[in-house]
Amino acid sequence: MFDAVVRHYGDALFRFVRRMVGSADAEDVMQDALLKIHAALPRFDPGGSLRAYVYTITRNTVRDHWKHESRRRTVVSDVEPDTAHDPADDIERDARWRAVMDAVRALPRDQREVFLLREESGLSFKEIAEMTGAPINTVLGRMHYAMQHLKEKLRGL
Amino acid sequence: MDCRSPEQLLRVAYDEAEDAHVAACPACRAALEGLRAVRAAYAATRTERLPARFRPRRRIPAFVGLAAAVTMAVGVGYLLLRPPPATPPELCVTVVDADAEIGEMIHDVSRRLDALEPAPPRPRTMDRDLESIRDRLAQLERRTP
Repeated sequence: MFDAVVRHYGDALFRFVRRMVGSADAEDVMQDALLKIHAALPRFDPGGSLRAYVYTITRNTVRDHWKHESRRRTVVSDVEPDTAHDPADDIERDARWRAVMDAVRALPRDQREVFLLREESGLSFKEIAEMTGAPINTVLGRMHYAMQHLKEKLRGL
Repeated sequence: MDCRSPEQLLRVAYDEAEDAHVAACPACRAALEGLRAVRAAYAATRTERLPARFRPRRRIPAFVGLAAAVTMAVGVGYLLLRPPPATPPELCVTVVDADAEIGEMIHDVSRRLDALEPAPPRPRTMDRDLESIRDRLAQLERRTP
């Protein structure tokens, strides 16, 4: 079952992780997430949504990473790692791709999370609200602001 | 006009709701197209794939593996146990002096022609028959008054 989950959701999960934490940490966080999914699958309730289950674990792993990063940053420096531009993208991508990625990475974390969950996972706004524990209007509000920001940034592309 | 809220438009943009008003209202339609343009721009960036090291390896079914092993064992066994190949025949190259051979053939034919006996003389049967016919005609003419 784990293999099937990775085959079916792996690419989108990886994009979600990479765009949440940046390319430098993406593979480490992805590895953690997959280990947790592997360990948690036997506890999955077949009556529930496997997609929501897998994304909840991945999202929590990303959040753990952020917490860990913020502690480390407090010690090391105050530089915000969520800078918009990811140099790894310059190697292989065109300008349009980079512009979209930069705009997404420039979103505040909560907005970025809702946007990426909706785009990459295909979960409904209601499911995202259940997953994040936020009221659905809050989720829709974050999405609205994310869309406004992206529209502004991508104007003229 | 009762235009839709951004939240309602988001639901329409993500196909979670249908709204006849949006199709009829230019302002709502323009807002919806703006949302869809962002979605399309983002969709074009969905190119990364899960790194190969995380991908499950395709497992070969047991019977395929068994069949491959048996085939390999038979092949190796055949190569080891087959009789040594026969020594290939040496190439024979015969150089023929064509001119000499043809000359000899012509000489042989000539010799045989010379050795042939001369043709027997033509039988005279035909001439005798003609003479007897002439005699008979002469007799007949004499008898004719």
